[in-house]
Amino acid sequence: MIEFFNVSKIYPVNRVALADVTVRIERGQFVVLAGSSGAGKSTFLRLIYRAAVPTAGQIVVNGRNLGSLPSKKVPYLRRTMGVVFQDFSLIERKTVWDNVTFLPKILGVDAKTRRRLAERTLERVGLQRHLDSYPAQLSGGEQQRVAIARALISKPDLVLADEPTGNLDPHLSRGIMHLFSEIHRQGTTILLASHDPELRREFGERLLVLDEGRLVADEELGRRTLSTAGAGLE
Amino acid sequence: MNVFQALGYFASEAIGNLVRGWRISALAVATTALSLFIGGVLLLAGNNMARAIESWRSDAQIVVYLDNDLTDDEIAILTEELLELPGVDRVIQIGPDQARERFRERFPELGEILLEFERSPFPISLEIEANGDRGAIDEWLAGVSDRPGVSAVDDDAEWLESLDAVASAASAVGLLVGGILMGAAAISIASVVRLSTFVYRKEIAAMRLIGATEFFVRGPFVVEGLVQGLAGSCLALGALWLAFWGLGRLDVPWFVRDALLGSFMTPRQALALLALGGTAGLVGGLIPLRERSGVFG
Repeated sequence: MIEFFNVSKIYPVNRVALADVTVRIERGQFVVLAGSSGAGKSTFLRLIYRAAVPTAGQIVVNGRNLGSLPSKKVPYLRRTMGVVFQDFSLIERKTVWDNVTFLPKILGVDAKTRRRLAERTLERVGLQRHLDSYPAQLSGGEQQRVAIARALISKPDLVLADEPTGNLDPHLSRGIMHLFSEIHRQGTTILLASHDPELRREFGERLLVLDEGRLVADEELGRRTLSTAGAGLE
Repeated sequence: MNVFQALGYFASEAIGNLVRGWRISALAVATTALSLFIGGVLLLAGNNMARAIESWRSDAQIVVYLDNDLTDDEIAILTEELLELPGVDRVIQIGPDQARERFRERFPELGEILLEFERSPFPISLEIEANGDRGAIDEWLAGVSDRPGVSAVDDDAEWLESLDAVASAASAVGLLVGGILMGAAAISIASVVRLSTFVYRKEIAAMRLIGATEFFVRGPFVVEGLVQGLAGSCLALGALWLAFWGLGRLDVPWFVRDALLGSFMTPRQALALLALGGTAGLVGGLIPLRERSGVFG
C-alpha cells in the first residue's frame, strides 16, 4: 500500500528530516511511528499526503508514484486518505455537521446521501448529539473525534494521524486510540505518529522507530483487539 | 457539485467573509466607489462637453465686421462674393442699429452703457452661415484681413477648436486618472482579500488537507473581490445619478448646464461602469491568489 524507496528529505539549511528510509506498509496494518521530537515522524506522514516532496527517493501509495503526481492531482490523492492532526485543524466557524460534510459537499454528493454518510460517521465517533455545535464548544477529545469523523467520511483505505493525542489528557487519549483501533478493525490502514510509549504498545500492530531521520527499528507488536485494549470510547 | 452549486457556495462564503470583516470591506467598497465616481464624472463631463461642442458647432457663425463707411454697393458685392463660395448657405447683413438691439436683448444688464452713445457704436457686419464644408471659406478668410473695408473677422470655429482641444485633453487626463484610480481600487480590494486569506489561513490549510481543489479554496475569495467591485460600482452609479439630479436643480450658467449636465449616461455606459467595477474587483480578488505566499502557492 505504501512504499518508501531510499527516501530522504532535507529542509533548507541542511536540516535532515528523513535519511534514506526504505519501508513497505501493507494494506490493513496499524502502524505506529515512534521517535523523539524532530525524529522525522511528521515529515514521514507529510510526504505520504504530499504536503512535502522528498529530496531523494521514491514514494508509492496505492501503486501511484507520488514523485510523478502533478500538483493539480494532489487533492484527489488526499481524498483517498484521511488525515488527523494534533491540533485538530477544524474550520472554527463551521459547525460539526458542516466540518464533517464539507468534502462530500464540494464533491457534489447530494444532501440525502451526505446526511446518511455524516450521521453514520458521527455515530461511529460518538458525536451524533453535537451536530450543531461549533468546535470551540467541544472538549479537546470531542474536537479530535470531529476531525476523525471528517477523515472517515469519504471511507478512506488509509488514515494518517500525526500525534492525534498530543493535546489530550491520558483518559481522552485512550478514548481516541480506541476509536482508531475500532476503525482499523474494520479494515482501514492506520499510520499513526505518537511519542507515547504506553499507547504505542497497547494499540499498535507494527512499530517503526525513527531517530534523526533514520529508520532504526521496525518491529511487529502483535495484533490488539478491542477486548484486550481496555476501556471503551469516551 | 456543478458550476451553479459551486457559484452558490462561493457566493455564500464570500458574503459571509464580507459580513464578518464588514469594516475593512466597506473601505474597499468606498475606495472603488470613489474611483468610479471620479471616473464617471469625467466620463459624463467628456460626453456632455463633446455633445455640447457638436451642438454649438452646428450653430457656429462667421462674422465679418465691415467699416461703417462702406457703401451699400460695396457691401452687396462682398455679400455676392460670399454667397458664391461653396459651403456658404446664407449671408445676413446686420446693421449698426440691429446690432445695438441684439446687444440690449442679450445683455440687458449692460444696456445702460449704450445710453452714452448717440449713434450705435456697432459696425456693420455680415453673418455667414456655413454648412460644414469649410475649405473655400477658410481660404477666403485667410486673405480677407488685408481687404479694404473689412475691419475684423470673428470665426466661432476658432474657439470651438480650442474648446475641442481642451475637451480632448480632459478626456485623456480622465482616462489616465480613471485608470490610476481603478488600479488603486483593485489594489485596495486585493489588500482586503489578502487579509481575508490571512485570517482564514488555517481554514484554507484544513480545506486543502481534506482534498479541496484550488478552485474551491480560491473561489470564495475571487467572488469576494467581485462583490466588493460590483458594490462599489453600484454605489458610484447611484452617487453619480444623485449628483447629476441635484446639480440639475441648481441655477447654473447655460454653458455649464450644456457642457456638464446635458444628459446622464446611456444604459450601455452605466453597464460599462458596473462591468469596470466588477473587473477591478475580480482583478483585486485574483492578485493575492497569484502570489506564492504562505497561504496560496
